[in-house]
Amino acid sequence: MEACPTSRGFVSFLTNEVWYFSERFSLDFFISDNMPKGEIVLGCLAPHPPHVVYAENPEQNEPVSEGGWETLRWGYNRLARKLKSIDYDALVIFTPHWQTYIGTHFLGLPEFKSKSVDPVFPNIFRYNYDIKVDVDLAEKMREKASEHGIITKMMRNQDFRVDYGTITSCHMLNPDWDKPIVTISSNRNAHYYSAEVMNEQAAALGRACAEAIEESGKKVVMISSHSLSHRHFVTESPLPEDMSKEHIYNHSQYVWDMKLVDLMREGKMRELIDILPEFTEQTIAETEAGGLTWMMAAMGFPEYSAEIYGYQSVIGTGNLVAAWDPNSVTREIVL
Amino acid sequence: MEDAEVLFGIYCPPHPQPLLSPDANHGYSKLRAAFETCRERIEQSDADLLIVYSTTWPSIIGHQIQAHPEPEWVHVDDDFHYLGSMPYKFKMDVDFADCLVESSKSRGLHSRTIAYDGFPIDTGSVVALKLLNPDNRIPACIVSSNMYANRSETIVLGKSIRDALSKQKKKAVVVVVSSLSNRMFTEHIDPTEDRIHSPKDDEWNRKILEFFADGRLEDLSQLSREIHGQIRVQKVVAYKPAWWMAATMGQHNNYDGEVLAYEALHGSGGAVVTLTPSTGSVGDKEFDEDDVEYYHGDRDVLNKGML
Ligand SMILES: [Fe+2]
Repeated sequence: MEACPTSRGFVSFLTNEVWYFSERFSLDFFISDNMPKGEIVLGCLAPHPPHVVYAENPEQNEPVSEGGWETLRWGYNRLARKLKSIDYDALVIFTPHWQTYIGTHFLGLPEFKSKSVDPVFPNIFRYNYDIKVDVDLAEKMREKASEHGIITKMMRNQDFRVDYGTITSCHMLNPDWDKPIVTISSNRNAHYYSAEVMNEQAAALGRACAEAIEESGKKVVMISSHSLSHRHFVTESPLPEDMSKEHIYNHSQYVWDMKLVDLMREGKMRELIDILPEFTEQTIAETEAGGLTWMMAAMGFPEYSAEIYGYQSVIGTGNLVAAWDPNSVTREIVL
Repeated sequence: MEDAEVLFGIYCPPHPQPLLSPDANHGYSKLRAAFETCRERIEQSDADLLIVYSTTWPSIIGHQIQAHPEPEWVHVDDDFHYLGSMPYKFKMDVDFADCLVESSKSRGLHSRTIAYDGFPIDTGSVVALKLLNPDNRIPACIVSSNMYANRSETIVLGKSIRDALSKQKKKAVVVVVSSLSNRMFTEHIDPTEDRIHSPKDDEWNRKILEFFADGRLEDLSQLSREIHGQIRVQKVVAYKPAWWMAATMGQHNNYDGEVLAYEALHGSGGAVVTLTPSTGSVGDKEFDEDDVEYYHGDRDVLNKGML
């Protein structure tokens, strides 16, 4: 079989080029008639500065705070409430803080229980976690990615410590931890090649993951875990949650971040991903890891408005909580 | 202030293969043997502490200094998790860490000690300390590599370490944990077929090793920006290990250098080198990059002028 027609183009099984034209994540031609097809029920942009978990004071985190970063946290809280109203089987998260240089890796054991101490902000994040993994879904994604020429590896060392990006984003979206997750490492193409290559490879991974989700028959929430602009202050106030000290690192970071928010509101995700290499370079953005490109490619580059839940700086970086709801009935204008 | 006493310096790679799979490739076992040689030399020295600067411990909030008296964990590498786990329990020199925070602050650096149960000590530091000081015979101090720091800040950090050594009258062995060329293969390979990623990386590595063998540490420090552009993957702003090593050991070329091993580690250049202070300088260069004693912080360029 060389290629399959879809409603919007052709899918090639030998090359990626034609496949790239598909602007939809419904890949129904792969599914046998009697199996319910899986789907992406929501895509979330979920930044992971550990400060937001610290500010929430959950029992899992050892340090105690007086709050802080409410604009971001309250936005997160509202998105978490929306998630409670959605029927889904698993959260699939792409994280910048599991950095791999030899391919893309997937958590491959059913449970991880340990303590995560942030290597950069250990004073505010020492979190005891107990995480369930949907290994079947992880393996399916790995298999599909591999079929499409992406270098992959399952991570099956029980001593492995789950990264704090995964924990922070998942905690803020689902503090009850009542759904299994799949964590996907970020292969650092931007370091080895360029932001353009990162964009292409992350998009290929996104398409492969969408295919795996469809075949799995599961309902999945995707999470792209990162800040937008990502220049940090290199000093910290004595009280990290002192909001009188918090502001964006510089104005150009802010202007770029707002440019992206505008494109999201306008439903121009293809355009946004096209300018992402420039944005990433100009603001040393955490989009360099590929998460947003991965998620948008998996969702077929939405042409509808993103739900905007909140924007705030954390230690100088620009952070946005946003979501893409493919269901036009439940899609909202939040802010 | 009395001059600092650094007995010798070691430059070694951060990858876990010499610790976890030394027999998978002849080169890995040669690197392992070179680590063993360094371990013996440390044992034979009368060093009071090991000071480790690891490129695999990035920091953002200034400079972090490990100060847990006995950090303990089971570490697993992000890429090489399939090679196995690395259980560790180390002994840190807390007094020295506290003294270093003070000395670095007095030179304008933002620094702090880190002492938390379960803090993730990085792969490079774990590999180095487990191989160089397996019985914790002498205590160690690990300092982070700030991801935004460039030349001035890194050199001032090295000088702060000398200040702390002088103040405490301690004799140190300094350990830099870093690859030479750091481009790895982006696919999984049969370890028996490991080699340096490209002839260009190999040629540059060998040139750097010539400088090391000649004891030309300050010359290497001055070549850092060139090295970064030529053979370093652009993960961070600069190749900093030679700056740190020269500033910590002494910014000159008066060393006896010895290259104990040079091998490929998944494509990157892994070398174990020692530098021992001696007399008689080598080299024919003089430099115009200013030496720096005090760090004045960001120059706030982006917020000046028109927007
Ligand atoms: Fe991050």
